[in-house]
Amino acid sequence: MTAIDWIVLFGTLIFIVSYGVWKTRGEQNMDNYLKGGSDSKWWLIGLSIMATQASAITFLSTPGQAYTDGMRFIQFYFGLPIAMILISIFFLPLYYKAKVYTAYEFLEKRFDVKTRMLAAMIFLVQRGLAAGITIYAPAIILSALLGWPLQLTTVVIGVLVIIYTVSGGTKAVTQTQKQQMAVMMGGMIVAGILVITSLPQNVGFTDALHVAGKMGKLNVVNFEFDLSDRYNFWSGITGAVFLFMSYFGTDQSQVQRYLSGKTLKESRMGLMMNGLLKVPMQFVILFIGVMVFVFYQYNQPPIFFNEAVRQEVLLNEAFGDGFKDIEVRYTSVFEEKKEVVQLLNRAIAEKNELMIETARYELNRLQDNSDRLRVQAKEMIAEALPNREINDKDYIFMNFVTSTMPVGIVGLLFAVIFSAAMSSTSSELNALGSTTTIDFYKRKIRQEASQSHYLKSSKWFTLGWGVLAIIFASTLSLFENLIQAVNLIGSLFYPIVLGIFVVAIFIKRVKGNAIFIAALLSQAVVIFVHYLNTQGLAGPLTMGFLWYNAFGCILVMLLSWLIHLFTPSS
Amino acid sequence: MSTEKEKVKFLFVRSWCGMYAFVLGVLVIFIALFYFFTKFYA
Repeated sequence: MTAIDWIVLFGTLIFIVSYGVWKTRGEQNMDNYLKGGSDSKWWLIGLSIMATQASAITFLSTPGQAYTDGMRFIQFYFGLPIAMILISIFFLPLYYKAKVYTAYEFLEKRFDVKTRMLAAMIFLVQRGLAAGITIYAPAIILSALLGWPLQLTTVVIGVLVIIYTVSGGTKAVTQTQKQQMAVMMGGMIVAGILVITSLPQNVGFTDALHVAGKMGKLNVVNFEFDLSDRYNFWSGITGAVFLFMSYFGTDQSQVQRYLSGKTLKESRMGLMMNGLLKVPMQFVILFIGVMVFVFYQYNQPPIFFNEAVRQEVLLNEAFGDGFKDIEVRYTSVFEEKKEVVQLLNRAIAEKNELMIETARYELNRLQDNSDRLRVQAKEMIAEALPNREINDKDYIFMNFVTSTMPVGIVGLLFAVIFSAAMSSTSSELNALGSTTTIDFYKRKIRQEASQSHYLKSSKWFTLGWGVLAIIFASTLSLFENLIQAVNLIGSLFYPIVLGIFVVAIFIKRVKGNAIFIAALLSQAVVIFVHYLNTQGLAGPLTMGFLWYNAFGCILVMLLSWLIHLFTPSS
Repeated sequence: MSTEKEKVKFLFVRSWCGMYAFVLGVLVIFIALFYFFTKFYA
């Protein structure tokens, strides 16, 4: 990074943090600390909802996902607009009517205090873990790219977020998310334009699309029904609807965003804005990943995208020479592939179908060879450096940025990643602090205290969760893919909470004890089914983890109804 | 605090039912475009 890049990066971050603190200076009370004064407009709510969901993981993992697996991940988001509509119709009016600070308060009004505590506890565990990952994910990648120690990067992200989230609460979170979304969107649009203009001069945009399509990267929609397939149209409009309903409808980090609305209408419109913009936004991010893939059909990509680890293995006495040998073979396959890509471009220009098919076959054969060499290189890294992570998907995009983007833009794109990390972490800490204060401290520990006392407590709890998230982030190790790790954690816990809310809204006869027992049993079953799936022993219950969302929610509904029927009181 | 009676006013949409239909319509258009994208460039 050049001096200009550092100035752009730190200038952006310092501006956002200072703006958050400045904008929320002056006298505070519980209402504006926890609900942002309930005066947010719909577009601000929409931006806040989107910024909360768009973590650094979104910008680091998603292009890498498209690079390796194509664009099919977009189908996961097809369920989002449907979930937004369902939440807008069924959940939002109830929250407004009950005048709650947290979603879990509503459960006490409907069932009892122990059900509220259970849902709030599941939220704290799930979101507490996720907050750690939200800081850790970018920290591990940024530390490798910037050459900073991992702990320092973790602390920098954590402390920046803590400063404005603790001082200004929900209002600071919402206000800073405006700037963060502007940086994220601006940065990704610039990245998209630059990646397309980085293609060789004789390769047009349509040529790039043809190359990506012929190499199987534009596999956006697949209508084949397959339960074990993680991303297809059907899992998107069923399993994902459940996940998004739980996340947006019952997770306090999102509920708190739209409860800051001036009116029910503003909150609903905020959800609709998210429903309209999320799919195209994800499409753009995935598309950038595909264009990076096309770029590397004309320019030699590294065999391993985590440059720090690559250098380490090259210097390794026992494995360095072997690794270089794989790199030489990788380069030779690349040169061969490059010629075939150009042949494909010519064939498409001449509309020669036979030549197109021949080139496509040859290209995919060479791509398989290239992928095999990458696997060999990773196996060698695992042998040479057993403690290093061999999954490099999450490094692909930023490796491309640092090696090809012009001065200033590199700093801007690092600012995108930091902004995304801060926007989602701040919402999480804000929600964790609020839930601890409202659902536990105020409800169970100190019921009669002044507003200023609860305000101070909220700040201390938010700070506490921030420190815990930093500590947790410092002890994690990398999952297969970060975005999938977050979705997996969500899919294990969310369906139970969603099940509780669905029963609360739609099955009026079921009371507190039945739902409480059903929720506990269902949580145990979902975790057990996941264990069976990881061991390959699930039999008829074999499913991709996104399906846990539907499975867990329906299980809670069924069990609570059965328990209700067979308990003496009923 | 607001009520259910508040009307929506967004582009040509004047009711919540219309708003939901609009959001679903946009989703269907996106899926159709993506399907075209998948097939055309495959």
